[in-house]
Parts: sequence; C-alpha cells; structure tokens
Amino acid sequence: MFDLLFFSPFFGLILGTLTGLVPGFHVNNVAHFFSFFVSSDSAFFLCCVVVALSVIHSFVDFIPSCFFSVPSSDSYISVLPAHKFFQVGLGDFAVSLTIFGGFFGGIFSLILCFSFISFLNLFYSFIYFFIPFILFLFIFLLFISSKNKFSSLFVIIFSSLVGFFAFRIFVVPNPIMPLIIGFFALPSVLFNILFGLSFFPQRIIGINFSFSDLFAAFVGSIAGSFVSIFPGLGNSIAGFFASKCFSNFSPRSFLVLLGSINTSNYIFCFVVLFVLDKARSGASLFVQNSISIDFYFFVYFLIIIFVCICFGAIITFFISKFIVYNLQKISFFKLNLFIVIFLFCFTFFCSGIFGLFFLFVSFFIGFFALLSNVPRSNCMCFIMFPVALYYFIPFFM
Amino acid sequence: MGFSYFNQKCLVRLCFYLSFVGLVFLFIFSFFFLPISSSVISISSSPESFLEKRVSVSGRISNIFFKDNFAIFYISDLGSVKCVLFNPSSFQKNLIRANFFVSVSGKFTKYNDEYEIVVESISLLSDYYV
Repeated sequence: MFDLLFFSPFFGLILGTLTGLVPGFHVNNVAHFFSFFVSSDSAFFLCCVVVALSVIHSFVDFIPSCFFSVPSSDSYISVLPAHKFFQVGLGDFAVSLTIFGGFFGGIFSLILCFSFISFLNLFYSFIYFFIPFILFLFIFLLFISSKNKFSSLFVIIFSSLVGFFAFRIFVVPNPIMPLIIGFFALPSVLFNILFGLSFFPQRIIGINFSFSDLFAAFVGSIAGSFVSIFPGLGNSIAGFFASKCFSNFSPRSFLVLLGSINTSNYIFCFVVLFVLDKARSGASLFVQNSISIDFYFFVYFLIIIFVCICFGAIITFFISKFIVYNLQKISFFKLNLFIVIFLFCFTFFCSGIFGLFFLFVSFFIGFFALLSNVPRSNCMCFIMFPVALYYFIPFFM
Repeated sequence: MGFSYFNQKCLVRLCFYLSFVGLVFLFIFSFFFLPISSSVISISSSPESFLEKRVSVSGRISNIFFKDNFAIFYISDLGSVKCVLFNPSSFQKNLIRANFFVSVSGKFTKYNDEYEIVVESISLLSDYYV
C-alpha cells in the first residue's frame, strides 16, 4: 500500500489533467466513480488520488477557458479577461497568470491553514448562524451590481427555481453536473459555433511577475478560504466580489486572483473537512465518506497538496505551450461541435433523461444571460438559493 | 520592482525543485508516521505484525460498553478487533452505536493478553463502502 500511496500524486496528475482539459468532466465525476471501488485497503489511497487530482484540476481547468472560451463552473468568470488576452495573441500569458496565482495562492493557503483552523474553531458556530443571511445578501449584491437589472432579475429567479426543482423536487442523479454544463459550458460552446470564435495567431512572450501579482494571489487565498466556509458560494462569485473590493485590479491581477481562489478553495475545503467534518466539495465528500481523518492523515494530505501545487503549475505550463504551438492545426468549429456532442452524451450517461431536461432548461437561461450581457455569476443562484433555503428553514421550525 | 526578476522560467524551475522536496517529505512521512490502512481480518489474523503500530481500519460496530471515561467496542468485517476510546466526546459517543459503519485509527496494542486498538479518531462512513 505504501508504494502505491507514494504514487498517488502521479495518478492525480493524470486524472486531474484529464478533468481539467475535458469540458464538463469534473473532479466530482471521478470521485463518484471511485466510490464504487472503495474498500478498507484502498480507501486511503483513493482519497490521496482525489486530493491530488482536485489540486491539479484547479490549475489545468483554466486552459479550456483561456484558449477555447469553454469554462467550467469554477473558471467561467475568467473567460472575458482571458479572451481579451487571447485576441491579442497572449493566451499563454493569461494561462501563466493563473498558474502564478494558483501556485502562490496554494502556498499562502498552506501557510495560512493552521490559523484558519483556529479561526474555524473559534468562530464557526457564530458564522453558521449567519450562513443563509449571507447567501441571500450575496444574491442581492449580484442583482444590484448588474447593469441590466431586469434581465439579471430574470436570470436570478429562474436559476434559483431550476436549482430548487433539481435538488429538492425531482430526483436527478448527479444534479449539479447537468446544471453546470447547461449554465456555463454549453452556452459558451454554442456561442462559439453560432458566432464563430476566430483564430488569433498566438505567441509566447516572457513574463515578469510583480508584487501586485503576489498581492492578488494573497487576496485570492483569503477569498478562497471564504468560499470554503460558505456552502454554495462559487469561486467565480468570490472573484467577482474580491475584484469589486479592490477596484484597482487590472485584468492581469484578476486572472492571478482567480487562479489563486480556485486552488485555495480546494485546499481550504479539506481543512474545513478536517476541522468541522463538513464536506464543501465533491472531493471532500468522497474523503469524508471513505476514511476517518486524523492529524497524520491531514498532514499527509497537506504534503500531497504541496507536491500537486508544483505538479499542477508545471503540467499547465507545458500544456499551454503545446496548445500555442499546435493551435493553428485545430479546427475550432469541429472542436466545438465535438464538445457539444460529448457534453450531451456525458449528461445522458450520468444523469439520465431528467438530466438532459435540466441541461436544456439551464442552457436557455445561461444563453440568455450570455446574450443579454448579464454576468453569469447570477446563474450560480441555482446552488446558492437551495442551500440558503436549506439553512434558513430551521428558523421557521 | 525587486520581484521583477521572477519570471515564468523561474516559477517552473522553483516548482521542479519544490516538487522534489515535497516527494521526499511524502516518502519520509508515509514511512514513519502514517497509520497502516488495513482490513480488520488482516489485523485479527496476524496481530503480531501490527503490534505497537498505528493502524486505520473500518467496519461495523458491535458489543458496545460505555464506562465513565472510556468506551469499548468491537469493529468487524470478516474478522473482529477490540477498540478502546478514552474520554470520548459527546460527538464521538453518538458515533458508537451498534451496526454503525465507522473508520477508526489509533495504536494497535496488547493489554491483559488481548489485542486492542487505542482509538485516536473515529468517523462515520457512508454505506457505499460495503
């Protein structure tokens, strides 16, 4: 078992690269698949692989959104600034910024995680009481920060209803997956097909990082810890509000910030699991259901995370360069068409006919948001609203 | 700025070195500190090889006995092993119920000619395990 354990970061590297590159394929899918193979002997090894792959995924995840404008639920907010870089031939530059953010965000998170443990021990019972109010406050802030109020309201109400029906009324297998694909991945891909994502010649330029990048990574780490405390709050929403708080953030710093939040969130989710025994992500749910985390296991996870932060940065760096060199050979139309077919088949396979139904409904809402220039953060109400309701109902009991 | 010499190549080189350091730590930690994940049947069939080592096992709870400051219970899969938990918290007491499927980790020792795990952590597992 020991030999295999040592190789868990390498297994995580392969699987995390796969989940990061294939749109719609998520850490949660792999964790769900692993749950069929858990046994007393294999549980810890599989948990190590899931921890490793989730960290690697948080790095590679930005490649589809930076080069092909196909985001996941964690990275959709990066599409616009990343596409601006892509249009001037600096797609690789945009990816490098997210790598820098992910690396230093991850390091900051590992440094901060022991203070975070003390913070949770002291204040979580107090914070717990306010969770539903804070989630509703965020929904309200999403609404008022939107320029197109009427369309924004439409998107918020209908996303919330779709989420409520998918989670509470219909029994949809893996409900999050079709909704994430419908709200975020599919509208972008279809937009690319309908309006033709043009090819822009890419180049690789040297990049010198600055202290403002480091500061953005630090802010991202704090924001990532915030996301891990509040269930339903996505990385992109945290990025959206963090950038509002620091209005001097340039598109460059914003991408560093998002890279940092994405990686930090995964790390802090495991810290929350260790301290509070509460799962805040599919990966941590798998770990929670598979082993009892004592201090030694936790430290082992932290070392795996540390190794995988480095692995994630390296593999993303090389994949990005590979794509830049081979981008001219790719037909964007064919690629996008293939992704659409794949997403439909994948949804049907994982969530059945109800999953396809919710995929269509969420797609129309996501597409409407895209066309009417409503920030797609508003679609995240599909998870924030049912979660807020879940925490809110005890107040009336 | 003083940080500006730090470029992409420096970052990747730093990652290479740090990943190597991390892997060395991983190796040392898994060799010296990590509990041995095993099944109950393996432990109960060859207890001597696990003696005085930290182990992690999972199984169903049976034969529970609570005293003032400790709890004794058995964990079973195809075999069975005695577990002792000292000063259990109220949360831990709630987990120790007959037929609950749990994972425990702790030191495997011998007391009064009987093998037992002195439990350090316990958590409830999902039933997809079995």
